[in-house]
Amino acid sequence: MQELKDLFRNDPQEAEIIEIAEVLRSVDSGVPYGREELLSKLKNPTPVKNRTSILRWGLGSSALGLVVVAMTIPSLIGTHSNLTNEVASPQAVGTGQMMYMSDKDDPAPEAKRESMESSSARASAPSLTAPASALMKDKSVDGFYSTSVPLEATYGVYLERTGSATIKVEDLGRTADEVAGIVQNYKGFVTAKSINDSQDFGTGSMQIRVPTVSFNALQNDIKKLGDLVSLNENSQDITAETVDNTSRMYTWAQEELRLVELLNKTSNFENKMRVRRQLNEVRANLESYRANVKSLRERANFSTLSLTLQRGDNPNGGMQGSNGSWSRNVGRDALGGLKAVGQTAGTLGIYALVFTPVWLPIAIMGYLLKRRSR
Amino acid sequence: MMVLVQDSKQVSIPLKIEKLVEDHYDSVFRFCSVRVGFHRAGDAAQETFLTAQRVLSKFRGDSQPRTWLIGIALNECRRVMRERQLEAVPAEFASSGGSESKLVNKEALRMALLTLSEEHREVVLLHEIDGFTCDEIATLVKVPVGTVKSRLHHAFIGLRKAMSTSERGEN
Repeated sequence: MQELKDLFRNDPQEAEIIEIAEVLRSVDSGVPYGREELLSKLKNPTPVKNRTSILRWGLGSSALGLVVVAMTIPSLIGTHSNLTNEVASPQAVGTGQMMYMSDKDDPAPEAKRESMESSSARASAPSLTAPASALMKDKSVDGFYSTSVPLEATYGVYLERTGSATIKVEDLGRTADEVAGIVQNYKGFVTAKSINDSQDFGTGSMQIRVPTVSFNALQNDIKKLGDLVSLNENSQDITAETVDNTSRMYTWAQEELRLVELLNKTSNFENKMRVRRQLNEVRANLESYRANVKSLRERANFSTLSLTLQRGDNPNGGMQGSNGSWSRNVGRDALGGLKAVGQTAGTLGIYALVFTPVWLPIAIMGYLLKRRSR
Repeated sequence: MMVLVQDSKQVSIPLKIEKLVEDHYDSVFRFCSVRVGFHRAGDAAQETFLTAQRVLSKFRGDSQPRTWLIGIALNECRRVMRERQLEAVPAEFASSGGSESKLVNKEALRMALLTLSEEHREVVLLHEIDGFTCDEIATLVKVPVGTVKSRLHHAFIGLRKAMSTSERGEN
């Protein structure tokens, strides 16, 4: 306090500043907990390795990692479509122990590096501890309620899955109805549908949203409805966005609870109004983040499939449509031509080989006769 | 793990991590609680000591053990705040006892703290709540003592201004 007094000596604001400092010093940081747990952790420390063993460990684990990756990539590709919205826990990431050397006592860089090193491992920890979850419960006194948000653990991987498929079918209307039935079975819904049918040719398109857990099953069922022309699938990782927004929502929810508590303690009308104003601001922020989180979770929980149905051959052939489809068709035709030339050459080669007993003696005799005549 | 440090009588004594926990856990916990909130403070304090245990052999006793530990805790809290997008403002202000007007004043002060820049707020918290001197803060945040004093001065002017603006707005 003396330092502060020296700083503001002869300042007209000195008294107010000291008062502010006194309020600051009255902060209640709660009764410390976790000491016993820490002591038991310290008694069973994780062994720290020296530099050589770290290097060896690092090289060994890298090599092992490469082997594992090489072995799992094909299966990952194969099973990629089996991913659900919460597919993997990053628990195994970055759990290695490392020790950093420094020449000074300065703890900052070491602590920073240590923190960074362990942060990825910690990312798998549940986001809410027991006291925090308890805070989320409604508390009401004198009729003031918190609009507390039920929060689940936010970690895991959040994937937004989208896909598109084109199938050739016999009857557009009937197939569209079948698709709607399948989607309903999976508790999904059709968000858009259009059918354009003529005598020889017809197309239809449908936008489908199904729970992500049923996305693969839906694709399999749809493939059976006709001849599959194309199928594409995309996954976008929205984990960081979801965790960020959930964390902010959680912070605002805590803020709201705190203000509600304060409001219930306050009896003076003016003070009540002041706290209420703050509460309104906090609730506006909370609602905004709540909406974001809801939208993100919905994006992860539901996958979208754009389905195109085709009936008959396009009467306008490859010339119809965009320049992209025209050039694709020309390219396909050229490739077809090249394939035909190759096939012809191959056929001739095989015939020549098979008829060797016939033409080879004739050729040899011709050659000998030609030499003798010279 | 054990290292030697000199006590006030310049006698070398062994420094054990258990002793550090015994002497400074509460202080580190309170430091973390103010910055990352009560429910995260336990984890942050534990992480601080686990980090301290790992780097204890590098501690040569140039600074006080408490200052050294708070330096580690400061980085740990910054990491948590960065991860959780938190602002380092004492969240438990209002829950402490006191008269109604005091509670509302604390609330206003809490809001005023949010208006400060991170550097100014950090200096205020270290000086007023954690009780560090300007010299110690200079060591912790690695700026000259003059800069610490200047930040402290500007921070309090900012706090006073924000609080008086808030009062005027409400009246």
